[in-house]
Amino acid sequence: MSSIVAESGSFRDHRGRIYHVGDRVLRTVMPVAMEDFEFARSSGVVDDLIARGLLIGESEADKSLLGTAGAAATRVIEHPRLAFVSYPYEWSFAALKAAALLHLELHQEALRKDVTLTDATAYNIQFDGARPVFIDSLSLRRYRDGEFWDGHRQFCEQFINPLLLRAKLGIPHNAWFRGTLEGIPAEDLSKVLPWHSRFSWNVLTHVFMQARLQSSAGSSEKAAKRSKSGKLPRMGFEQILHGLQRWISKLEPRDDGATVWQDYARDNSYVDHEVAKKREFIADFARAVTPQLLFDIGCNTGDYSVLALESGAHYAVGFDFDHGALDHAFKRSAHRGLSFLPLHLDAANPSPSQGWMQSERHGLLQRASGDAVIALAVVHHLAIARNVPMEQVIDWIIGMAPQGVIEFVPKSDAMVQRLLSLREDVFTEYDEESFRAAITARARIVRSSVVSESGRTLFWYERP
Amino acid sequence: MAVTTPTKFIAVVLGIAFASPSYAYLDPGTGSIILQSVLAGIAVAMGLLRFYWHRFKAFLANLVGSSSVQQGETAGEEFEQDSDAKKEA
Repeated sequence: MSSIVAESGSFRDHRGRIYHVGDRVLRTVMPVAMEDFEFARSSGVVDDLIARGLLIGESEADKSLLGTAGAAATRVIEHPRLAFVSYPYEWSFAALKAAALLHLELHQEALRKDVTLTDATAYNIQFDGARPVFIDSLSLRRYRDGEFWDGHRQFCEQFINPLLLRAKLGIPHNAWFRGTLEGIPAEDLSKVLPWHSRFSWNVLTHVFMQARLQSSAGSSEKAAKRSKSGKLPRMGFEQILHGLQRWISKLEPRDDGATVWQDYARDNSYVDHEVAKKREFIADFARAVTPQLLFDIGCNTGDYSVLALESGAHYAVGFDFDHGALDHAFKRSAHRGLSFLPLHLDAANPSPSQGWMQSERHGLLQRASGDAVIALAVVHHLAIARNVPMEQVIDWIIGMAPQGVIEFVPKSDAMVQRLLSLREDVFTEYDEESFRAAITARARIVRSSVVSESGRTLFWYERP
Repeated sequence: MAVTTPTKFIAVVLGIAFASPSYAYLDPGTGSIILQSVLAGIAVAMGLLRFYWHRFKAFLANLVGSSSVQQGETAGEEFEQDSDAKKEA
């Protein structure tokens, strides 16, 4: 029998918890949650949302699967396993926006059936390719006439404010969000937004007014009491959700010009027939390996992920540090309905395990191991631009998946020359021979191929 | 409808004065709650404004509409008289 592992990030809501049993994902529904659980299901909204793909599927599971944890619960339900769990601080602007719009759509849909949501955390949304899915089915509960939107502040901190940071200031939300884990408070954002952003009614109210009201009322018990004695008419609730949906759907990054790497597809040291060679190699690899989960490190706008998917890979997670390229990749995946999820990653500083007990949010490599990895035109960015010893770079990449393709870019290549143009070349060990030796120390080279005149070489490895 | 809708609006405006407990496991935040009351108040006020604006427009349309009907009737009478005159001719 597989061991029962409680999901360490699922502890806040006492009404139920997620457990892993082998590959299965199970959720307890505690007695305290039963009334809401049954109400939401009898309203028909749960089935409806699942059928429309907005909410993750669920089925009844045997309580005994969870031992004592199952015995304490009234019901146990099972969810389909996600291909890859990602966090809002790894999402592109386009992904965070899609998640925000899903939350609002789902909430409005639920309200029509007298169902509301207990919270508005962005961690309740996951992606299937570029399609957002709401995963916390216990968040749905009965709506009581006149109640406030409890998740409003959380929605602002985890969706609106991070989006505004990029839309108004051109600053990506990822580093700030990863630092706080719970998003960006209105009190902080209001200090950095330009004065004229108050001319936007939504920014004025949801950021500036909220920050002011929070800081002025927060110190006064009287004000807190008064705030608790109010009611939010249903029409007002619906208006707020609808207004936010309309507003967010129009938000775009302020720096929406082409970024450095978005142009990479056109501006690189490859010529067309060389690109064809490289594509053929990757297609062969994907056809032979047919990975369930492929990691694409330095995915850029997703050309090679898409190629791998077309050639036999089932699901691709791409990583890149360029925000423009990621937005482009996300829109491409959404537009074509691909099983491709592009995420933000600085390979020299991957997402750590953090949060409560340093295990609430899992580090990148703790979440899933890939069946295959491709790292094209990446190694020199780590080995030269970030001074990471080349052996360690190879070690890290090969550690990600049992099979993969790694590209070596020689010093003579224009792209490496560009990295070295303003600095001393201290990288005496950066050559193809050392590169090949580093791979063979850890894996078998299945095939290698020179794909450019400058001497770029692809290595297909297989771990023993 | 003309009576029930504004009554409903007024009821929800007054509803702001009555207590409603919070069912959240998370702290909704005082600032957020006051803001929501304000936004809801504005939404309701806009709703009322829209309602009376529609009534006002309907009233105007009625006024203009009934006078144009009268004109039409007059025109029709003239036409009938005219055609009668033609018949006579």
